[in-house]
Amino acid sequence: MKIELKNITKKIKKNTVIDDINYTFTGGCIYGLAGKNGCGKTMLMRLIAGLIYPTEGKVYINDRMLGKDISFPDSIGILIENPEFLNDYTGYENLKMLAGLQKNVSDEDIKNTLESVGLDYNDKRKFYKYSLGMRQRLGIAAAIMGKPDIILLDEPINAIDEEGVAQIKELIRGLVEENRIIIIACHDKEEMDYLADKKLMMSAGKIVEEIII
Amino acid sequence: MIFRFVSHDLNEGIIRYRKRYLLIILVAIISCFMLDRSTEYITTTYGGYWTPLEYGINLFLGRYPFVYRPDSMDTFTVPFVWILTYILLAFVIGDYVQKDMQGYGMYMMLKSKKRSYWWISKCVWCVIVNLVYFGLIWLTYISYAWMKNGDIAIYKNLFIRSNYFGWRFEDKSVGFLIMMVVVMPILVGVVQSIIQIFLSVVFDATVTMVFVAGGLVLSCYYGNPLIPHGYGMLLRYYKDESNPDFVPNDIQSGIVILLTMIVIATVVGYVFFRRKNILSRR
Repeated sequence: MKIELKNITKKIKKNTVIDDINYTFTGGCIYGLAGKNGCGKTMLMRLIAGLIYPTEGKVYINDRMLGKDISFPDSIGILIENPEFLNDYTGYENLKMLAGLQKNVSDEDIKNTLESVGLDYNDKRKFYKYSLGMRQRLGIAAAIMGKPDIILLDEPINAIDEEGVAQIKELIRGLVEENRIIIIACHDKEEMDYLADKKLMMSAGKIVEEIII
Repeated sequence: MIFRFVSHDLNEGIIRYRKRYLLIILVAIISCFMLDRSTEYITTTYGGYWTPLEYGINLFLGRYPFVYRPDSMDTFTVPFVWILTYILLAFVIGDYVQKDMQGYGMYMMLKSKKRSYWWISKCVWCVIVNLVYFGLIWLTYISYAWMKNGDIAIYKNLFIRSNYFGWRFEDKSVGFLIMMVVVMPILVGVVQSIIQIFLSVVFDATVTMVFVAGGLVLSCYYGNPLIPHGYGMLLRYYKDESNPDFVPNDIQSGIVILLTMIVIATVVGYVFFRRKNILSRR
């Protein structure tokens, strides 16, 4: 599993949000993106996911170019900002609908995924009644459901209680596999140092430092 | 796969916003009242009543393109209810597409790995919205006529109709009138809707509504075979006795033009959407 960023630059309304990044992500470790607000962490994740395209440069997923050979990575899960789900459905129902678009996710998988993030599979509450922490957990569940090869988690422990944070951290660490790339963005230095194997410091749209933890 | 997207759009884009459709039902009822009221003398004096098709003729009558003649006594009247019908359609379409693109639809695109499925399902959704929307108008007319007169005949009042609308409709068959009053407005609505969702992806919902409203007003003043809304006005299929330069619309070429516009708008929208940056709402 490999993600290659080749001379990636992204400009939005004349603002350079990603500035000439060259980097290769490989499977088997967790990458942490660190930096101030507005440094480009979320934009970089969106570029990798295929949600936005670079102004210059190319993104390759296993040697296939995003935006030309493929629209999106073949196997990806993403948690970006405030996760949006369908208000009139339960957490299980929301995941079930998304699972219908994937080929390899059974009801048992959905149940296990919900339990792994600390949500009750049988909870009949609709999404609009979920607390912020529950919404975040459901967002993580949607990202990891089906065990995708690329997992992007933007601030995964936001709004989650202390006990839940420990649970989520163990969950993320347990996802590491040779053929899986996990990229997280986290403001908390302590959490980042615990989770990430490699930390990429970003500033003004550039990767300025790589720290192996 | 497309079916799952369409099913999602039916739930989230129609059923969830079902209250918006109440407005057009209200407008349809009011248009019936207005026609009954304005022709009360004729119907009372000569007997008879309006039928569902005739209520539809009244709604989609429209007007001829404006021609400025300083010596003319003709005043420019805006077909307000006709404009309102298409404005409310734009309201029903609303900002659903934009919201979905930045919300749950984004997850669906990622899981399906195709942007095309999302866009195509939105175009299919536009067609379904138009069928529901105009279907409600006709259902309202049929219900109103049934409750008022106990009669839902298609076409009835030759004398009243010719006195109110003029003799021009009498040389056309009922089937032809149904095409002009039922089918063509739906096709026009689909063209408007797909262009609207394309613009809402490029700009935002507010700017898009301004475009739609502007296009509607322009179509009242100006007649051209390439302006889609003209095909939703019944009068445009007939000669204007006061304007020999006016070339009436032709229904066959109108269908071809509108279907072509639908295909072009769908394809152009997809080509654009393929490279669209999907960002958050903030």
